[in-house]
Amino acid sequence: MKKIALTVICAASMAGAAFAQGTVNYAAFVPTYISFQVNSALSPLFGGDATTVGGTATGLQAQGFYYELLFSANGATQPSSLTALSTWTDSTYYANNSTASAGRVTAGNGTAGSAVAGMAVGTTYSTMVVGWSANLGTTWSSVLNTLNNWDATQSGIVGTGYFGMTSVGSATPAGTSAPGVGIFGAGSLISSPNTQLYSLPVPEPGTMALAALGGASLLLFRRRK
Amino acid sequence: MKKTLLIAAAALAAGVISTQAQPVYSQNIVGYANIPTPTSGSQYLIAVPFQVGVSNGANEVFGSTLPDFSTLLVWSVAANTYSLYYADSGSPSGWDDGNFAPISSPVLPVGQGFFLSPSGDKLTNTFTGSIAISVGTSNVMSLPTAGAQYLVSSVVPYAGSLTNGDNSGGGINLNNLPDFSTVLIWSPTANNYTLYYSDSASPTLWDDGNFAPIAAPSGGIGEGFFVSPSAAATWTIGL
Repeated sequence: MKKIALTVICAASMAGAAFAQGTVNYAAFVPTYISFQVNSALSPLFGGDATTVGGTATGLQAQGFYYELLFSANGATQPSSLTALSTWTDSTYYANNSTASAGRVTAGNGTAGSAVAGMAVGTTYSTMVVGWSANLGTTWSSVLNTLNNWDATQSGIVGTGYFGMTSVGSATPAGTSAPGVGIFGAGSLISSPNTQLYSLPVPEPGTMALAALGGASLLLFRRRK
Repeated sequence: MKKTLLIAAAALAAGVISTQAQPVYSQNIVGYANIPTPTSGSQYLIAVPFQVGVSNGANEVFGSTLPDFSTLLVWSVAANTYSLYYADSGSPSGWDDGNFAPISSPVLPVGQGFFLSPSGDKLTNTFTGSIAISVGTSNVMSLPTAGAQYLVSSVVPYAGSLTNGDNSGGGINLNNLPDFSTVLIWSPTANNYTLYYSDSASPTLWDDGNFAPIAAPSGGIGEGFFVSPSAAATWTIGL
């Protein structure tokens, strides 16, 4: 009986090890290393200047901003284009803006023991957090799609959209148990206080007018026909 | 001169006799604590609050009370992960490693937390031993690395708010942590941690995970918790 129990436990632990997903700590957002500001300057992904800093701390509106953990192969650098950004993998773990202290971050579905699918134990990955205003969407997949199709989708965005990326760090999940490896800190970890969430392009008034004129012409043309 | 010598010798003899006549008390305080771990398969973050046996080995701490294949998870700060041990009455030491190979008993020093997952219900662990420090002294625990996770417990069996007490008296006295150090308190029923930030700007000196002021975290006797200092820190506990 004991032998059978041992065999079952052994098989279970071996099966677990085969599919072991590294655990990270996506709950402790020490403001010394991660906080966010909104900045009216244009996003570098759309031609803005990446060195523009000095925005204002994100507000306290509940779920006004979303922050998602992405990872990539070790050695990846901060993306300078939407194409490069699209190659990063979504951990599916998000956070929101703190409702008690401006600029700070509080856990969404992330915990002190977040097992990340695709991050293997013992392997080093580059890590980065992307942040955006809630008017762009609530999931990273939809926001990335919106960004990649910005010319077509921007008219559906109410208000100014903001988007930004932290500096890139690295993390090596050491095991599968909580609290997991930390992501934010000094050295090789993400250290990105006052990360800028830059504004996304808004349609030029002239462009809007032209679009409206075109639409009106089409209607007129259709009526006359 | 002879008189002086005689007086000195008499005084010395009286001193020695007087010293020898004093009753000798041990500075060590002994005691016991019952730490319940009631539900089979649940994870309990506990600690041994006393010095037990020669080395605080798991064989000395638990004896043969643990049901076979109960597990211990012993944290390594450097590796940022746990070592897994199975209780196994068929092993020469009473313990196996994660591969079910016999291994020497893990050491569970006072001041270090660990996870116990019992393989049987209604288990109460009775730890008996002496308190790790003597009356009138204190222990200084070093937490040297910023951002590292230390799995700790009070070296004296105190309960209550983690910030009760001071350096010279009693109490857990986890005060003066650098701002935005984190404490993780485990809940075996929720199977999750509650996060606290130390924050000198907070009226309570502590914030919750949303940076809203909150009462200081608290702990029970024989309870472990994680501390991650934002800069090198020390933790002094007196008796």
